[in-house]
Amino acid sequence: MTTAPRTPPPQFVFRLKRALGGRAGWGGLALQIMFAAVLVWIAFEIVANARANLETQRIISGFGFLRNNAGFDVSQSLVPYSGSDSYAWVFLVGLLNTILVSVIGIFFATVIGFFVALGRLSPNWLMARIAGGYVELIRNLPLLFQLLFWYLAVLGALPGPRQSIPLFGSFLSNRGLVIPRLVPEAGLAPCALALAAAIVIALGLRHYARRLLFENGRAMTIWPYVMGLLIGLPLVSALVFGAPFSLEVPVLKGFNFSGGTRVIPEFVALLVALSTYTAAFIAEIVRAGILSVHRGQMEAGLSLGLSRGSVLRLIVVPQALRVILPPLTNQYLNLTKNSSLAVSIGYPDLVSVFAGTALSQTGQAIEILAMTMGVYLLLSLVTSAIMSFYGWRLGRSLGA
Amino acid sequence: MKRVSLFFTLAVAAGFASQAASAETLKTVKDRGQLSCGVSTGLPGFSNPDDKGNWTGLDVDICRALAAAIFNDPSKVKFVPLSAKDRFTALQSGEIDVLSRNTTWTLSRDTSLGANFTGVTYYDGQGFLVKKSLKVNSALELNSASVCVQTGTTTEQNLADYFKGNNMKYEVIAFAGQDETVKAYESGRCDVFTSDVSQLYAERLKLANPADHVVLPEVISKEPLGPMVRHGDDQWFDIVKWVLFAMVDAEEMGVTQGNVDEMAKSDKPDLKRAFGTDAISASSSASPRTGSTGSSRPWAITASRSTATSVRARNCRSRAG
Repeated sequence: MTTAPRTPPPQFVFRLKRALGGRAGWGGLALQIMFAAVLVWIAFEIVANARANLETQRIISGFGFLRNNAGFDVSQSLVPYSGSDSYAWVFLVGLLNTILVSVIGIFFATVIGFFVALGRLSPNWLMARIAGGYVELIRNLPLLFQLLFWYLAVLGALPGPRQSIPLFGSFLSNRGLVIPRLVPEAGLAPCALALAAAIVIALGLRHYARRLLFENGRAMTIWPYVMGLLIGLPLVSALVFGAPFSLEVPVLKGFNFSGGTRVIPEFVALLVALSTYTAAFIAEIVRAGILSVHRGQMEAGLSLGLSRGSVLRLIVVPQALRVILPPLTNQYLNLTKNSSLAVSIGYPDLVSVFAGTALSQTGQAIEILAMTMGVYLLLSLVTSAIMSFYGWRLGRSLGA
Repeated sequence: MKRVSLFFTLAVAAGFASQAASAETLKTVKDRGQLSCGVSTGLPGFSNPDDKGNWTGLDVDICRALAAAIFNDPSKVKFVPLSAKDRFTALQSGEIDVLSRNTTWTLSRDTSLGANFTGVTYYDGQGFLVKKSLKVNSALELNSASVCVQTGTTTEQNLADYFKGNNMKYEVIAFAGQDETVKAYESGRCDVFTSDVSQLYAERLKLANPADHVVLPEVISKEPLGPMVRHGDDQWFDIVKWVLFAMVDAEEMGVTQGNVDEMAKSDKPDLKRAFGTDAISASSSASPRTGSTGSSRPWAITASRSTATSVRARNCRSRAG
């Protein structure tokens, strides 16, 4: 179903051009250059003026402070960090924390959003109502309120570390979830090799099964073999060469658990709030996208004998994606930017540690805020570039 | 259409290009008719609004004394509540004339923020608040504890230094606002709440059951608090500085809000000098009201009268909170 894209009527384009001040010939060009020059001059004036004012007030400016010792600690860091590291390192720690919660949040928001959308479209009355209720409830409450709800009312109600709830060697308390940590052992390398071999064989099997399907029309169920390979081969290796990991079980020591890996409640609250909130919007976007695909597509697929799931997966969703993608990108960007609400519940994201603590310790407001804004701008541009690329590839594969 | 927008951008650019006047704060304040004073968003004893919006506290009294010295009217103050994070920017940008917000005098703040501290109003220090049920008697027993702290203060660095210096491990959870920090401590997310001792006592009183919490004896830092003004306006710097010193002097000489009129008539030479009723002080150019004729009463008297509480009394740290 390829319809030629409608070209806008020339009258409209002409009007638009005139409204934007486009003129033919040298006069138009001169105006454009003048306008650009004015913009450059304004930017220059702003910078020069800020510099002069900082100078007269004896406020130290520049990025030299980044090399100084930060001298404060952070509750969660993906890279090794201590108080004796520099402000530049603090910047990285905050940035990684922001990226971590954004990426995982985008993943969960997308998954939840897709399922809620499918639920809302489902012929099952109850499911459709529950999904609709979810969307209406979540998207109409302020995000900050939901964040505080998850953090203070839900996670805050957990017992203290001494009364923590044991869950299969993990412990759940108001200090977060402490899980046993995997410590690499001698058996790790052979086990990794076995896993790699299993993946290669599984890919070969898939290739074979597809050829079988396309050439002989015979469908072959391969997933039991694949699962067997992926689990079996590493297991055999573990039995022969020894276990790849040993478990470091957390123990209660003093005020907190020591050993193990800890997921802090601030992270969980932020992640849950961001994913569920954004999922409500994504659900509506996905629903709109699916509804934009003509009913006939679904009916044609069903009459070919495909299951409802297969029709959705193979026919409807790929076409719907063209409508879904641009607003979906917006939601991803919103989620990333909303993650800066972290500061209100003590999650050490970029705004909290860098534009918060580092700013007040150094007083370098202009530099730090410029860097922070630059980061959000960059993250947004990268996200939308990835999504554009995906959209472009999708458009090519659909032949549009 | 386009010409209009071009004109507009030019006008905006011209606005940016004009330099912000940095000096002559006194003139700005007088022209405006009221003093713009940066205070906290609510800290009992320092600056705290009641349910009718009346501010009370030591930091607030500094603002009132300044207004009294300038306008002969302590009510001519606009209080601007500021978070710990925003306070210096508000001062630098000229949104406020003086920052009187339990701010610690540190080297870096005094030298790199384009601001000056005018004196010390209160000698504070950082301490720890814990639940009594933890049965902790000293901060040195806090190894592996979780600590709640408000971000944007000197507290975080002191905390890191103290735990590192004593070879103790800890987890820090930093919140933007004081209320969230205390709430997290109360809900059990942290074992310890750390802040300046004066604030710990104030916050402890607000907890559901103050008797269940105890402030540990260790004071791990020296926190001299004081008002701040912008760098580069010496006249304004002098005014804020000497209004503060006049209040300290008045207190040393036993002058209070109640007896100030009586004391002003005294024949004692030191009191006469302090009130400026002798010839030398009356002609002093440091008077914040030079130029405003009609009021013969020197500024120190109005400053003393306007403040309900005295500076030094607040300086004696009360263990009772």
